[in-house]
Amino acid sequence: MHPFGDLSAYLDGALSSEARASVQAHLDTCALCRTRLAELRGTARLIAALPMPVPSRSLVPRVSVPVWLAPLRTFSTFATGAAIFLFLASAVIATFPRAQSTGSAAAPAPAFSQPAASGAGDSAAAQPSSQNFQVSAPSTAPAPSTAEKLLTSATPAVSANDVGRQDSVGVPSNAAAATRVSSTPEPANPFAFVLSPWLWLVLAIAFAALSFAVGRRLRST
Amino acid sequence: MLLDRARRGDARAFEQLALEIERPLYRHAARMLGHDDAEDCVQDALLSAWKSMTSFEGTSFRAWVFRIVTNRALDRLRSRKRRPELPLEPPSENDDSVSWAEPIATGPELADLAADREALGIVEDALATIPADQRAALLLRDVEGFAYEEIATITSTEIGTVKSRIHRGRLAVRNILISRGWKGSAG
Repeated sequence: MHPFGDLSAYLDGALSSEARASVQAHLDTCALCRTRLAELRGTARLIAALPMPVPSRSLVPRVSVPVWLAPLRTFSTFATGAAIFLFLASAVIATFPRAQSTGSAAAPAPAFSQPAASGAGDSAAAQPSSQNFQVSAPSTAPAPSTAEKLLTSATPAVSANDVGRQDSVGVPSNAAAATRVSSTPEPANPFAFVLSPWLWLVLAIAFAALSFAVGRRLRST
Repeated sequence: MLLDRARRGDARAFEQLALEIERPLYRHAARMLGHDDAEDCVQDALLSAWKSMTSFEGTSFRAWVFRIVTNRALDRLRSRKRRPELPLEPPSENDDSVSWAEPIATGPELADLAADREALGIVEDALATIPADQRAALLLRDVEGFAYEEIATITSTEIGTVKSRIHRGRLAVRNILISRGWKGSAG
């Protein structure tokens, strides 16, 4: 009987010494098994000669972390927080003068008109605040003085309309003149861009993206 | 020693070890799975190896990672079920039941085929048609040069099963070559 099932193991040197001797003895006398063994050897050589495919990218995961990566994440995290804080601060600074200028006409008006409205009746209270300011001001004694204080202490951003309104409630002309003088434009600050909220917003987003990317890289190891 | 350093968590040592066997791993995975899935398979296996590196107690890093890659490749093939007609396990471990195709008279000898690209293409196609377990064992033996004992460890089987798979796989490739007109005698 031919030991076909052992020929591959014989070829690979994987038989026990006894089995190997037995197969060897058979091969010495059997031309068919010698042919089969040669075919298997040739097949094995062909398989071994197959070309080696090459991967299109590196397959070794980057498990080692550069020493500077952890400090970079710490820095980017703190930088993100600082940029957000500066964004909020610059946004408040940028909007504050505007709020003050508009507030001289609109914001203080409700506080001012409330006592006037209570004295003039419900119909006066139903009017818009700017009208309350003009209509009810003459009807109460303390109102003009309060208005004067408000208007004379107004910021340089008071507009021409505001000035005209001041005249209509009887503000002294010197106060109006002082307001006009102080409303002249200031020279441009070359470092004004530092106060731009958009600058800090962009930086905050950039640092946050960097912090996220570095953190993800660190977590992947 | 790189292996000891990698065991202690030295990532650079692990990367060096992985770099040395990256291409053989890819070659093995590509012939098991095809090129599309092979890269992901190897990368996943190496990452998995790194995560369990500290618990690795063996002596052959190469055999250990080949085991991970082979198992993952077989899992992927099982989940694919693209070729349900080809069972992962051969129906019988009786090697004598495998028939030997008879060569026709004309045609080159197998020994002359090694430099023949067409023949290598046929071998590659033949490997793709044999059951995955046979293919894994045959590749681990003929291409990667692992011993039968190592292949048994890598594929988590007995040596007898490895012996049978290698023989049946090799014989199947031989039969396909013979059926394509090659003369089967070679020294």
